[in-house]
Amino acid sequence: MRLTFLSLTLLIPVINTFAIDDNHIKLDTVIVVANKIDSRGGVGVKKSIIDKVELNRNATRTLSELLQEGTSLQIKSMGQGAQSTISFRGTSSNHTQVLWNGISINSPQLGCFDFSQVPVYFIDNITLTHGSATPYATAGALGGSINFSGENSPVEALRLNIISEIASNETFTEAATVKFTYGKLTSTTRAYYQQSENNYKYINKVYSNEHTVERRKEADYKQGGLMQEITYRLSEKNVLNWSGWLQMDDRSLPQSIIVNVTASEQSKSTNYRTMLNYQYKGGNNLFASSMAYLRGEMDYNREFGEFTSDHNRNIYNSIVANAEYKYIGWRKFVPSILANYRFDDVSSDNYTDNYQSRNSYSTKLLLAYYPLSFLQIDGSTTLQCIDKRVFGTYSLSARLKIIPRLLELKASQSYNHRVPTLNDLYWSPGGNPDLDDEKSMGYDVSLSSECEVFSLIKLDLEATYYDMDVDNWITWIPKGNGYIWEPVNFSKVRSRGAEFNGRIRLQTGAFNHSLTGVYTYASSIDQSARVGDAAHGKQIAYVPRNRWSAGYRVTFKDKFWFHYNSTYTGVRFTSADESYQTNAYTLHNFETGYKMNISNAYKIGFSVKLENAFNAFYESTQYYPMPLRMCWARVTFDL
Amino acid sequence: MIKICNKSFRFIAMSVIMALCTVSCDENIDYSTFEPDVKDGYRAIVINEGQFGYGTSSLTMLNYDGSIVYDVFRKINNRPMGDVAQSMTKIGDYLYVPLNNSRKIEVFDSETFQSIETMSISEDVIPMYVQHLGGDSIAVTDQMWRQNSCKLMIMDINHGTTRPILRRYVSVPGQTYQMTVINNKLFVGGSQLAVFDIGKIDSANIRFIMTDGDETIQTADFSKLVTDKYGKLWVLTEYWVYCIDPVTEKVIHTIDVGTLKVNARVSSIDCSTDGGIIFFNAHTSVYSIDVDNISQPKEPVIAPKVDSGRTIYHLCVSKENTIFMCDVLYGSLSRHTIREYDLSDGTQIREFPAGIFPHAIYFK
Repeated sequence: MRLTFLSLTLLIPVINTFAIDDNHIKLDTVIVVANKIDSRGGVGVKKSIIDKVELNRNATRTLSELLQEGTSLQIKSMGQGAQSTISFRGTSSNHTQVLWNGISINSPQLGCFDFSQVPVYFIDNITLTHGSATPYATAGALGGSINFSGENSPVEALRLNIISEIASNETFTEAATVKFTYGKLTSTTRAYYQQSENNYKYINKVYSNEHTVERRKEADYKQGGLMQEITYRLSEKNVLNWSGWLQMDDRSLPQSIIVNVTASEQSKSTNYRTMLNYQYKGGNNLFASSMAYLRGEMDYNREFGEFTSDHNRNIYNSIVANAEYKYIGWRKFVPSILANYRFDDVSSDNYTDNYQSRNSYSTKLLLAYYPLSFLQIDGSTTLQCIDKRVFGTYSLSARLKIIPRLLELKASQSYNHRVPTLNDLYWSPGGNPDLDDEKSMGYDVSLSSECEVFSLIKLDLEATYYDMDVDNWITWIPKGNGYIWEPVNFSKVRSRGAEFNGRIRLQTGAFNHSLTGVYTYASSIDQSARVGDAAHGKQIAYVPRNRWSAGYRVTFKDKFWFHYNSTYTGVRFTSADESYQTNAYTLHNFETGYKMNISNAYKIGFSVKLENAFNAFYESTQYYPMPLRMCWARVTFDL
Repeated sequence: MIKICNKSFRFIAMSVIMALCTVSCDENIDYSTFEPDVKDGYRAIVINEGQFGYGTSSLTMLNYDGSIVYDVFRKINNRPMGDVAQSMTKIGDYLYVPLNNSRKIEVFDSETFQSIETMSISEDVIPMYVQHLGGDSIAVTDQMWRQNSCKLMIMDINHGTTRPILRRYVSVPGQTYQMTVINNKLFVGGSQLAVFDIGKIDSANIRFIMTDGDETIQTADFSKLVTDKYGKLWVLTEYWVYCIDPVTEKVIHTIDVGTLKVNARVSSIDCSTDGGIIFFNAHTSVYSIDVDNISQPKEPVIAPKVDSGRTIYHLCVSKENTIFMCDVLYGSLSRHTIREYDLSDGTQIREFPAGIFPHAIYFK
């Protein structure tokens, strides 16, 4: 292990899947990127931006599948098309804040977010903010945040994109985009549909001594979405933008293979999100505001045996208002203020009164200070009131250019806060209205470098160390003799680790090579002091200590391309006292494609992908097997 | 220059990819060569229920020298035993463990723990306890509650044959848990204490033991049905301990334990090796009843000081007449503790970690 760590430490600096696009954290370019309220502050905070090439390559996949390759994130999936959650730096999935155009879209009931319900096709920009120094107006992102958005910049002529894909296990995907500009108005319409029988093969090694190849039962799913964005440029300084997103899915929920039960579980969900955004840029004043309405419906049905059934319905409606003002007239100081209001209204068959609501107000003040050309400092403080709970959070960060254009040091410190979800408080049975808020204090420091070798090879390297304590960590545990579970503030967790990422780029003649990689070491230790509980001092369940990803891509004349990616996920303990674990696994994916011009206006592209090429048996969630080798073939048409 | 760089780049690229592909940071567990240390034979096996839905049921082996082997079934067979084990029955040379959420019964050799067969059960039956009825026949209770009844399964042990394992279902009111055979009769505990003649186990021939007040007897959920040295049947309920004559099927003694805080979900009853003393637990204390001098127990024979949040999930009497208690820390999803007590003075002899939710103990 020590040797491995050393070798990776030496090797990994030369690899990075996602470029850390510096421009996105420099104040002067943030405004350009932020058509809607987006990134702000946090000059010393680690951020990752997934490049367009990766987004295009994974256009037919879900956000969960995209982030599985080449990030330091921990992903827990129940299988293809099934629920998938993501966490940062050894925290839980509830500690990941997910934002669409800067508006949090985490369910107010669950807290966590199902990343299998976001098609990458709807995303043009995605930023990962690592750690609890959230750049957004609301608290709660103890582990980190993921903000994504579409892009709706003007185009000269009508643009059309159509993707058709077929894959193993009767998986079919269709996607289309229409984009045009008419005068001051630009419209982008995207549609996406995927369905799969999802009856993939796996090896059942757990039910009996006979290792049998079986097909997954009751895992079929359909999902579709429609996204519309309209931008109207009122004037040079004023822009109005409207976005609407309808996302639906209907899926069977397969059972654990340790259980020989056909429970016929089904879930249907519909999410509707709409947002109106106004942006003003004039002189030294920048102002942006947005108003959003979010609605989520989830129907759950379970037919079990001849006589038992379970049906419940959960609906939430949320109204969110955001406003931001920034003044950029001073040379060394940039102040900004953000305000947020959110109202959540939840109707659930699982709440005693079938109804709960929550009001949240927050105000954030941020001051960036540039005392020297090589030093940037910023700090922010947020005051938030959720129902009758009032609390404050803060973050400080700094960036120091040690050797300009070669070596840079970043550091941040933050105090964050997360209130229990409505399910934590009111779910029946088990909800615990006496829960305390979770609190975190975290630090991180990064050393990064960008350099060129012989003007041919470009290297981007970054190494980060982080250390964070979370108090009052909320855990659901068995109550009494285990038939009912309840959330409690049992744990205190200390999460420490290191992240290394890098990228080498090389151009030789018509060939462009890119070698990328990420390595993460995460120690996330339960430090709760319950007498006699063997969980004390043990790694949090489902957080791998070691994880790496490496990729190689070559393109020839922008027509032919080949991509190889390998991802290793280390042993993950599945019980609190490390008694049980899932095996480590390595996946190898190959993908190649060719793009040709039919005429000046028309392009057509073909690509094929081999996923899990060496037929590795693996589980993301224990006893929920993932598919063996899968093949994908795609045709893309562009106008 | 470009050629040199191309070569260098290829070298670096290939090196990095190969290094990353071959690196393995963590050790996967492979028990395929494991052999248990049972030279002198084991003393007891703890059946651990595990965390529901997580497949963490396990067996903990306690050897005579006090050493333990955790999760012995997994280590021998290189796979998990299944989900939610709550009992183990020895028939001939084999041990039978029903895994209720896995809908199966694992059959394995009682000495080597090598798996003999995995008996799959119908999905709409939750197998709880196995009782040998003689010959190749067994009865298996069902916890599934459907239309106020459950299905008692009469099955064949057909290892190595092609005979179907299920002979028939017998509908029994309420839920069914532990069983015992006395005087060629099958007694079935649960929502009602039912009795069948071994040769006539069917719905038409079901009878129920009633109290003096003509009420049904609902036994503590997972508690044994115990036979004393006189062949009488003893059962524990939430408020009473009943002694029943298996011949007449009448209650002959009723002991009021209502003030002792018996928990019908987790309390249990057992008897000494000679069948002379009945033990049961109420909360964390153990009480006794002398079958030759039956009276209402007032003071516990063992009353260990335990931390709040703990409970006794099960109680068993060993062949050495010591008491084993499954000590569970509520809310913990870690391995829990077994404590052994000396009956003569109530002192603790040993404690050792078993598995997640230890539920029953089998003594060899």
